[in-house]
Order: sequence, then structure tokens, then C-alpha cells
Amino acid sequence: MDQPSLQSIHVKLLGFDLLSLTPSITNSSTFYLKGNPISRAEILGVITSRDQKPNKFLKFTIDDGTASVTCILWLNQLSSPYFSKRQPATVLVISHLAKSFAADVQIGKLARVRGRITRYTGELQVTVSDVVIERDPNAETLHWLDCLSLARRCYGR
Amino acid sequence: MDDVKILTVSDLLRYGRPHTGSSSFSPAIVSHQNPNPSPDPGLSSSNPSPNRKALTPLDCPAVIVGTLRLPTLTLKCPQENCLEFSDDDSSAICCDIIGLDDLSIIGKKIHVLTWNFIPSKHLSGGFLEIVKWKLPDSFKLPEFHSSHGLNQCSSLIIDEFKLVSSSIESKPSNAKTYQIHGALESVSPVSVVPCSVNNSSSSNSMNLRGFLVRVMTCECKLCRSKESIKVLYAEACCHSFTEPVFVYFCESAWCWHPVMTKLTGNIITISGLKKKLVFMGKQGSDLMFVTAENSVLHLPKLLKKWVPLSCNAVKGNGKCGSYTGIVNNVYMQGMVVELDKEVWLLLTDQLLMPPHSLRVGAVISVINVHFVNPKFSWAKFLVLGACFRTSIKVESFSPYKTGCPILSQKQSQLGKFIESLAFSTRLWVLLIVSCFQKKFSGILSGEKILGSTHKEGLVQAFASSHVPSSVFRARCGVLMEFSKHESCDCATEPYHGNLKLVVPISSFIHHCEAIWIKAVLPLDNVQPRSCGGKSYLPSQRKTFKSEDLGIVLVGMLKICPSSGRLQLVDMTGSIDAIIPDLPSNWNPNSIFEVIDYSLTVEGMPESVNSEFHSNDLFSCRSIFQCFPSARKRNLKIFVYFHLCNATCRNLLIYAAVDCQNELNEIENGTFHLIHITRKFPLLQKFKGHSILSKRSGVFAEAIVLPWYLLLAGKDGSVRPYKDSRDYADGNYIDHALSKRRKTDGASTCVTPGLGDNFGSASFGKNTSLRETSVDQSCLRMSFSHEIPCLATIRGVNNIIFTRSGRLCTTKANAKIKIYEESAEKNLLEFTSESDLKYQLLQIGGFYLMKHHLKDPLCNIKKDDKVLITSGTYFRSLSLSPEFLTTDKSLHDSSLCDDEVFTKDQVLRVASDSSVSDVHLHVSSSLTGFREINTKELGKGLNVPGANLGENSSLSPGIETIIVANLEENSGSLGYNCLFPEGNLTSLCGDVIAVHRFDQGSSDMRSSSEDFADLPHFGFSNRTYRFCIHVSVGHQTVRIFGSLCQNLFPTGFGPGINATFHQILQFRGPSTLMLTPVSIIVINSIRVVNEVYGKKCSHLWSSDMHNESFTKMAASSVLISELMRCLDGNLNRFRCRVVSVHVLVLEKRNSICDDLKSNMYSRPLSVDIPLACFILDDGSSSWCCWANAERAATLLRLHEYPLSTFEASGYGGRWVRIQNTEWTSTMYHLERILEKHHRITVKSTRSISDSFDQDFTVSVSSGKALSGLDEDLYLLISLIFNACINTSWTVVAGVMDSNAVNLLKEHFLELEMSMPPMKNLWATEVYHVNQLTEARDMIQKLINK
Repeated sequence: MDQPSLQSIHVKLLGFDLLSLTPSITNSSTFYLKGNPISRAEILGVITSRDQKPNKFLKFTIDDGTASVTCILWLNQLSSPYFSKRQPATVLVISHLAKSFAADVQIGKLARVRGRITRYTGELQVTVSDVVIERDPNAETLHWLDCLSLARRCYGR
Repeated sequence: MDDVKILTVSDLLRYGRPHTGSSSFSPAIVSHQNPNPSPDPGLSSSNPSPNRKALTPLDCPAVIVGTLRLPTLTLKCPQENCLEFSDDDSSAICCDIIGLDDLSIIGKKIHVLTWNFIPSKHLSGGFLEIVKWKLPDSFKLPEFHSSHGLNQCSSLIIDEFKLVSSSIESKPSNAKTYQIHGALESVSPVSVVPCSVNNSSSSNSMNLRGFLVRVMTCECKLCRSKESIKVLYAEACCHSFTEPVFVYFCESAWCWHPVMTKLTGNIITISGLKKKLVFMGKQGSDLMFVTAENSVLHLPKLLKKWVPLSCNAVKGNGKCGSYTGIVNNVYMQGMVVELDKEVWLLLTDQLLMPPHSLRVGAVISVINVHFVNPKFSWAKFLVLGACFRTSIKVESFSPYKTGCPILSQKQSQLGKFIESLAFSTRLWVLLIVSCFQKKFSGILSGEKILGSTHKEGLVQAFASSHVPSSVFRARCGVLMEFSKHESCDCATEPYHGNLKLVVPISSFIHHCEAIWIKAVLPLDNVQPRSCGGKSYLPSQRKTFKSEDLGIVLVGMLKICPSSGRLQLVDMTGSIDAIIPDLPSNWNPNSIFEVIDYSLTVEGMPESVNSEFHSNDLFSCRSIFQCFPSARKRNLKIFVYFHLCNATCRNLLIYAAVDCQNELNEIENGTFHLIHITRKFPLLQKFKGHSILSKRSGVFAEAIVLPWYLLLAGKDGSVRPYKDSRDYADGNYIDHALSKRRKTDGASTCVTPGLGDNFGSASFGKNTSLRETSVDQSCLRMSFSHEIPCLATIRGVNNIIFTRSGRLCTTKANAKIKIYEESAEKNLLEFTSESDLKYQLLQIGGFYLMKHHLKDPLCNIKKDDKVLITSGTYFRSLSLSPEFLTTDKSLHDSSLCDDEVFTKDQVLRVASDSSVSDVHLHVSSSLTGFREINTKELGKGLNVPGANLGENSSLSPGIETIIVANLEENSGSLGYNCLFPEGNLTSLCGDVIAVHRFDQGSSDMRSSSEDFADLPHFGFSNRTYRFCIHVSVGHQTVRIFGSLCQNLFPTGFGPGINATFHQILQFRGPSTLMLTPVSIIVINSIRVVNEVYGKKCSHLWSSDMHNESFTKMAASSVLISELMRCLDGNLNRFRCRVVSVHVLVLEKRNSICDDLKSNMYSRPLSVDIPLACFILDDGSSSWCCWANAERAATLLRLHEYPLSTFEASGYGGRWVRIQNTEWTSTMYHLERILEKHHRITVKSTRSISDSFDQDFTVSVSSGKALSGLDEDLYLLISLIFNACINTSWTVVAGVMDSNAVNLLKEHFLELEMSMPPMKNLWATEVYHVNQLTEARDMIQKLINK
């Protein structure tokens, strides 16, 4: 069987790897990791800043020791036309969830962030799908090791 | 006023009930004279007693008419200096009056307009508190006693009061008289001093009653001059009252004491004083003013208050000050008064009697009191120490129906002892008194606790052994201490914060719960663990050292009749105790004091209640009142200490313990040697079996060895055949041999003692064995071998003495092997009275039983039962190390070997030779004996320890144990009807976790393992199903069982090393079961700390590994790698839920429900016939199919309410329900299914992005949920909640093509397509242990 595509996978990345991804020329949502097209990522690190625009978005940074990655969590689900075609109940739940994530995002906490890789003013960032606050400090080490292991075993080829 | 009743004192006494009365209908006004701000009401009312009732008002308006008099000594009153209120017909009672500013009413008839009356048997019928009064014949005077309304001039109206009443008109005396003008600073208590009066004709000795006052005078010219008193008052501002003078009010002037006390702090003038030399005991004398016949007290109508110039802030170092507060409680016969909240006024001096009006609820001012801030580690409070300069003024009478404090007149030795201490130490002793009274009332007489006039009691003995000499103060009498106050020790308060507290055990338990909760609260992020698919929260165990607690334990040691556990008890409660060196002959009547101990508390974090977040300090109130301990929380608490420890002292209250008998019994005689092979636990009650309702005896299995110990008497003779009591003689105790004598290398002359005792015996290397033939009435036997030995015997109260003796064996049975089938095993039955003997019994241990005539042990046959009663001499025996080899595996576990554990982090529980009752030393030179015996005796001693090799798999390890115990099997017990098939075995290891199987946050089973058919015995409802995870070597086994919780030995829990005897190997080597005959023996307890936590976590993870690796043989892979190695095996993935592709939820059929239900897990109330999750591990994604239980785990149905609900308006009414188990998500899912029966949720958008999903939700009626339907909201929330979890460990196997085809067909029915990815069937789902995973990965990376 061929190597499965990483396009729909949440690729576990360290900050400096994420920031060094190569954007696709043809598709704004695709980035290249050692030649492999990817669009989603999972990062883990300490929240070092947060800047909230109520009912619009929360911008925060995740520092995992290798780089500081900007994350954007949208809070405008109930007003954005982007969600107008979605199921009303789903949008409502997502909106509530986003607010819950925003409340969880506090400076100094260890957070695991999954989301789509996007580009804003030339800089790479993560558009957040979900945030999980990790209570176990071992999560950080395990994430580093995962990134290392996956880079060797899976992403490098 | 016509309707107002006129009452007299006689009327009050006749009425005889506590009441408040008033001349008007309006409620009694409790006047506050105190100009100072009243204490914070919040503080004072913080502990309002629910029993406090207001005084009942009289049903009609009334006034009391009577005369207010100075004290006369005619009333029955312990104070003997109370104001009196009397009728014309000479009925009189003690009284008090608020703010006696106008002294002119003394001796006059007054109308009492408002009053409180408190009847008392201890006084002359009762006590009157005069709140409001008026003079009947003077309408010009204000109605109130206060001076409101007086004009300015009245301050210059000076009243005069003769201090000495004399019927004869006093003549002007030629002797020089003095006048003082100043501020009345302090008043001493009334005292009686012997005095000799020298007349010209005769000399009389008499007792002189009197008191001292200290007046601060001014040295200005005006004061020195003979100006009129009016001038002195008129020029008030020019005075500076700094010079103290003392006035001795003696003879009849003493009766002014209550008045002078009330005048404290006012400017007074006394004229007509004489100067005399007053001798104050042997210590010294002082020239003082003394009242004389013409002494007159001058007071202005409007009293002038004195404001001291130096108003420094009072610090808690013993300096004097004044305090005003509300009396919150009065304890210890008025010696301790709690003001406001935790301000403790000490009135411990016999002369310092609290006024009758010092009742609970009254507002009092304490003047010239010592402020002491004791630096105790266990409490923080303020002590007000009253000395002879202290006066108490009642500012407002109590409106409550509370009694007057009554002091006992008897001066006990304890009272004198307390008076000789510094203030904070006095409070400590009073706490001890209160505590000991509560602890031992009913056990000991009051006299034994408190002592008597001449004999010191338990409290004093205890206290004096603890207080340092620095806290004792020399007392030098009231006059001396009053006049030379500054030079006495009174004002200084030595530091002694190391005094430890003794508390009633109930309070101690309450305190333990509080500190445990405080300690575990930071651990609120404890991760749930999973076992057999069920998740549960691990219990939290915390150990505290006694030095951190600051509390001394005092109590008696008893065996709890219901649980059979050893406990430290007092009258208030009991606490489980582990005492490794408890001798079997300890005196249960002794009171032990334990300073050095470890306290361990274990419980579930969920039992933490927010109301219990109190501070961890003790309040004195809780000790004086001793709140009954309502133990709501199910915490396990035990203390661990050594009895032999120097800090653990027998206080020897019962000196009558007959040590003599004890010594006589062990002194000489013949003893049987018994080896314990098995111990049977208490029989549990079976349901409906009333025959077992009364507790019967307990049993142990033993081998009576063919060896006898013959002990010599004091004279060295061995008299084995006569009753030992014939040889009771005197002084033979070899006093307190602190260490045992060594006999090594003493082949020719072992020790003088040994040599003497065996004078005729030769100790040559090859001649130590000799043959003796003895004639015995009950047994004829010929001893083939005799080994001389020395016995070290621990007697009562740890007195150690030695005796010489011989070990003899019979020829016939000399070569018996105790672990062979031929060994004759016998049952020992312990009656309920001999409970302790059973409790201390150790499997594999040796014991001595005294031989008596017609002893059943001499002719014992196989299966004979031997009754052990409380009178049976039964002592543990240990043998010198050269004699026997010990089994190290019993104590040395993998955890114990870890170098990170220091000695004090491991509490040894299992007894070893150092704590046995009798220790036998045998010379190491006697090799002949050893050749014969060590192999045979010693071999049997090895309690099976399952030392599984590090690299060996689990099964062979367990089998090793089984081989070692193969002769024990369930068949022989005849319990086949109850028990499943299997072998009984023993196991030794470290307990990692203990959890109940019938509770927890989940009733899910997501593991492929099914414990449903594990048998459950029909025990009473108090039994619970437990699972014990035990680390053996580097592997983990699980032991299941249904047990009554209190059948676990004290201290059982995670962190211990234990041996499990007689457990059933059930369904393979990895599943073991506790049975009703199982015995758990704790070898050691680890003091839980972080290091242990890590270790435990490592073991735990290896436990989880065990499940997946050894049983499931699943290997950890990446999903992307799985694509290349489709070998059909199970694999382990660490992944997250990305989306839920399809989910079918059904209401579970109740009939089916019952059928499927099993004992270890409640059935799911929601069925999930179809569930497909998209999982992602960072390398690839796959379709995970799961059954109902595992799907429920992945959906997190068993976890607490979804966070999304909290943020939503929809879920607002759901999430407020605080629940622990099922009332959350599952509850509402059930509710929805009740409505819709079957719900199908299909994802309609992306399967690779959690929140890019939309859903179609259809219900059984064919209707689709849409819009903003509440049920739809819940279902979507449920799915999204599953997607925002951290990682899961999923053990899964690739589904074969047939299964996939079936699924495809099913999907066609659902009008869905299969996702284009691998399909796997999950067999196990549990939380990821990130630490272990990280370790594994590092290991793999290093190896590459």
C-alpha cells in the first residue's frame, strides 16, 4: 500500500518545524513538510500571550521551546457568513465550545492545539479547531518525542 | 404605677426561677455602661450556642424593694465579698449592680426597677443583678443610676463615705493621718492574713481580712498641701498621677472591696489613713497606708475617669492591659472564660474568684490582665492571664438563662501546680485536664485523673513530665505579688511553644480528616485509572509525622470487638493502630503516651467536602467542649508506632499489675514449640445464617514440634515436671537488659550466667548433645538431644530478663519434616477472649505454649483441636540468626530495594525476632544441632514469596508459588460447593492500587476481559468487591475478592508490601481471588511521598502494559505502519478522536438488561449497536469500530458533565446538577432515548476535521431532528465533546473482509458510504499514561 496522504491528518509538529513549512503556490490551505502536503497540525506548548477581541477572535501564542506559534481562535461563529450554510445547532455548539476554549486559554497553561495551518500577512499560524489544556507536564515531553518519532518514521519519507 | 407589684427578696426566693423583671411592660433594657466600643458582634456571635435561652420575663410589672449593703460574711457565698441585697425581714441574697457610681445608695432602701434573678443552690438562694434602680424618697435624683442630667456643678459636690463602720462616735485622734488623692489603678483580692495585735495588756493573734489597692498619686504641690478636697478635684487637669502608693483596707474596711473594684480607673481621695509597716511573709515588708477608724473615702458626685498617660499597644508578651468582651463560655468551674472568639481569660488562682455575674452572655471588662500570645504550633489564640492586680467589672449583665460560675473551695494539689505555672502553660494544663477527663471518665476515677489534696493525679504526672522548669514561677503570696508585681515572675512569659497537645481521640480523628483534605486538595487533578475497562479514581494516602502534628496520643490499647483490630482508644473514640513490637503480654489497662508516631489517612478525593476546608489548627473550644465526631467521610485512618520507643511510656496508673505472676510463669518449666502454618480469618456472616450471628472463635493451623524448651529457675535448676507456681520466689529480675547477650564464640564458657546455669553440662563441640530420659506423668519420653540455650524474655512493661534453659527433642520424632505430608497439623482455636493472641499470630512464626499436666499437646494426634483461651500461656519465640536462616524475600520487595527510600520512609509492620516475647540464643558452636535442624526447621519458615524473575513471564512465577504451596488446595477444605475450582496459593508483593469494583465513575467495560462470572459469595451487604493490583517483581497481578471492608488488616492500601495467604488461583495465573479463608499479612508500609508516587505510577503503567502486552500481545505501532504489517494481530495505538462517522443509540431493553447484568459492572442503560469513530495518531487516520462499552468510553459518557453545556443556554438546567455517576450525560441521553427509543447520528461533512462536521439525526419514528432542537444540541455536543479529549490508548485489530462487507451492507441501508480508510475493531480503550509512553519512546529512540 502506498504511503497514506498526510493531507487530512493533524500532523504533530514542533513550532520551528511548523513555521518553516513551505506554502503551496496553488492551494492556500496546503503546506509542504519535506515534500509531503499537509493542511492540519497539532502543536503543544505553553501559552505565552493572549489577545481577545470579544465575539470576533482570540489570538494567542504557543511556545514549545523551539518557536512561538500564533494561533487564532474564531469566536464569531454566530455572526460570520462562513457558518451560514452550516446546521444551526452545530454552529451554536461550536460557538459555545469556542467560548469555552477561549476561557481555558490562559497565559502559562500548557495547551494542545489542533487546527488548520493558515497564513496571515505572510506569517504562518494555526486556525484553531480545539484547545485542550494539559494538566500532566509529561505531555510536553511526550509531544516532543512524538514529533521526533513521527518525523523519522512517517513525515520524513 | 398602681399596677406595679412590690416584691421582696423573700418573694424572689420563693419564686425560685431564673427570670428578668421590670417595673414597666417594656422589655428589660440591658444597659451598657462601657464607653469603649463593644466587641465585634460578628466575632462574638460566631458560635452562638443553640441552647442559650433568654431569661423569662415576669408576667407583670414589679419592683423589688430592699436594702443594698456591703458584704457582711453572713451570706452563704464562696466569694465572701459580694454586695448584698436584703429585706427588712432579714432575707438577703448576693447581688451585683451595674456601674455603682452613686455610693450613697449603700445602706439605703432602694427600688429595683429592672433586674435579673438567677437562683442558685450554691449561694443563699440566688443572685440578683440590679440593672436599674431608684431611691424611693428622693425624686430629685435621676431615675437611672447613671449620672445623666447632673449639672456641671455636681462634679464638685463631694460625697464622703466612712470606710470603717463604728457604732461609737470616732474621736479625733492625735496620731498623724494622711490623705491620698489619685487614680485607683488596681485592687487585690481579699485575703486573710494572720496578725498579732499587741495591746499594753495582752497580745492577741487574729486573722486579719483585707485587701490592697494601688493608687497612682500626684506629687504636685497641691496634692502635698493640706488643701480641701474640692480644690483637688477642681484643679484636676494639673495632676499627673504617676507615683504609686498602696493602701491596705483592713479590718472592717475590707467590705469595701466590691465597691473599690467598681471604682477602678476613677479618681478617688481617701483621708484619715495611717502609715504602717506591713510585713508580707518572710520576703519583706513595706511602709503602706492603712485604713483606720477615721478613714473616709471622698468621691465627687460625677466620678472622674483616669486616663493613663502611657497607652502603649499591648503586645502578647505578658504585659498588662485591659480587655472588654462578651463571655462566650465558661469552662472548668470558672477557671477558663472564653471571651469573644478564642480569647481565653484564665482565672486559675484560688483567690481570683469570678463574680457571680460573669455569666455566658455578659459583657465584662478585665482590667490589668496579662496579654499572652502562646506560640503553640497547634493553635493560635490570645490568653488573658489574671493575676492579683486583675479586676473584673461586669459592664452588662447577660440576658441569657445561664448559671453563675461556682468555684470549688477545695485547694487541690493540681490547683497549686497550675498556679505555679506561666499563663500559657496553665491553659495547656487546663486543656490536658479537660481532655483527660473526657478521655478517661468512666475508666478512671476523678481522683485518679485529677489527684486529691495530697496526691498527684494522672494529669499532674503527665504535665510535670512535659513542662520545662523555666515555666515554673515562684509564688510569694497575694500581698507581695500585688505590691511587688513588677519584680515577680508574673509579668514575664517564657517561651515554651514546644508543649504538645493531647486531644480526645474523636477530636484527633476530626483533625486528621481536616489535614488530609488540606493535603490532598492540591491533588485534585488526579487522573482516573482504568481497570478491566472501568475507570476509577485512585484513593489518596497521606502520611503525617507526629512532629508536624504537635499532638501527643494518649490512650489504651484494645482489640475492637467487632473488627478484631488493635486500636488506641479512649472514651471518646478509637483509632486503628499498628504496633510492630506489641508484646503479647501487654497490660490492656495501661495508659500509653505516644509522642513519636506516623499517622496515615487514606480516602477518595471525591469525598472531600467544601464545608470541611477549615483551618488545620485546633481550637481550645473544641477541646473543652469535645465536639462529638460525626465521621461522615469514609476515610481510613491509622497510627503506627513502636511500643518500645522511649517516647511511648506506660504511665502506670495501674500499679497493681502483677508482674510477679507473669515472671513466675515464664520463670521455669517446660514449653511446647509450636509452628504456625496457616491462619484462618474471622468467619463472615452469611445471609440468613443466624447460627453464625454470635461470633465464635477463630482458628489457626499449627504443627506441634517434637521439641521442648526447658527453662531453668533462678537457681539454675531445670524443673520441668512441676507446676511452675511452686517455685515462685523473689528477686530474680535481671534488670532491664537493654540488649540481648551474645552467645557467639562461647563454646567453652558462653557467658557467666550460662555457665553457671549449666554447671554440670559440658559444652564441647561434639558433646553438647546428650541423651536424657525423663519420667513424666502425662508423657513418657526420652530426649535424644539437649541443646543448652539462653532465653531472653520480655516481661510486662518491656522489662527484659534472661533465663537459661535447654532445648530437648525426642528421639522418635527428631527427624520430622514439618512440610511433609506426614507433619501432623492441628487446629488452634482462639476464643474471643484471646483475640489478641490471634491478632499477633504470624504465619510461619514459632510460639511457646507452657506444658501442664494432662496437657493435650503431649499426646496430640493429627487434626486434634487445641483451645487457646485468654489464660493460656502463649508467647512468640524467635531464634538467634545463626540458628535459623530467615527468608529475605518476605521483606525485600522491589520497592524496598530502591535506594531512594530511606529507612524512615518505610514502616516495618511484620514482626521480626527483635520484637518476639522470648528469644533463644544458641551457641553457634553447636553445629551438631544446626546440622540436624536448620535445614529442616528453617526450610519450613520460608513464607512463600513470589519473586518473579524480571525477565520471566508472569505464569511461571505464579506457578512457582503454587508448587511451594501445592499441598494446600481447596478440595481439602471441603468448600467445593461454594468455591470455584482452583488452587490456593500465596503471593508476596507491593500493593499498587486497591479499588472497589462495584463503584466508580464508570460502569463501562471496554476491555475484552470479562469479570462478569467471577463468583460472588453470599455475604452480608457490608461486603464489597475489590480489585487489588499487586506488583510482584516487575510484573503486576490482580487479586479480586468480595470482602467486608474491615477484614482488611489495618494499614492495607496502596504503598504496602503484603503477603496474601490462601488466595485462589482462578482462571489462569493472572487472576487471583480472595476467599473467605484468605489472610493478608502486611510486611511494610511505605510513607507515601512523591518518589513513591512516581514509582507507583511506573508500576501502574507497567500494570497497564501488562494488560496490553502480556495478555493481548499488542504492540505499539503507528497507523501508517499498520498498513504495511497486516498480520492479523492486535496493535496498540495512541490516538485522538477526530470525528464520529456514525452512531446509533438505542434504549436498552430491560429484560436483556437483567440477563446481561453482572456483578462487577452495572449494565449500560444506553445501547450503542453501531459506532464508527475516525481516529488520528498523527501519522494516519482510521475507522475505529467499537461495541457499546468501548464506544461509551470513547464518547466519554461516563465523565462529568460536558463543558460545552456549561457555556450553553440550552444545557443550563442540566449542568447544575452536581453528580458523580450517572445523572450527567448518561442521564439525559436516557431521557432522550425514552422519548425517541432509537437515534441514528450520521456525519454529513468532513471526517477529518472535528468541527467541520454536520449531522443528520433521525429517530425511530422516522422524524429527523433539526433546527435548534434541544435534543439535537445535546447529541452534537456529545459528539464534539468526544473530539476534544486528549489521547486514548486503543488496542485494536484489523477487521477481516467479511466483517467489512457486512458493515458495507449495513451502511447501504443507512444510505452512507464507508470512509476510504482502514477499519479496525477496538478491543480495549483506556487513558494514556503519558509518562510511561514517553519513557518507552525514549528507550526506543536510544535503541535505534
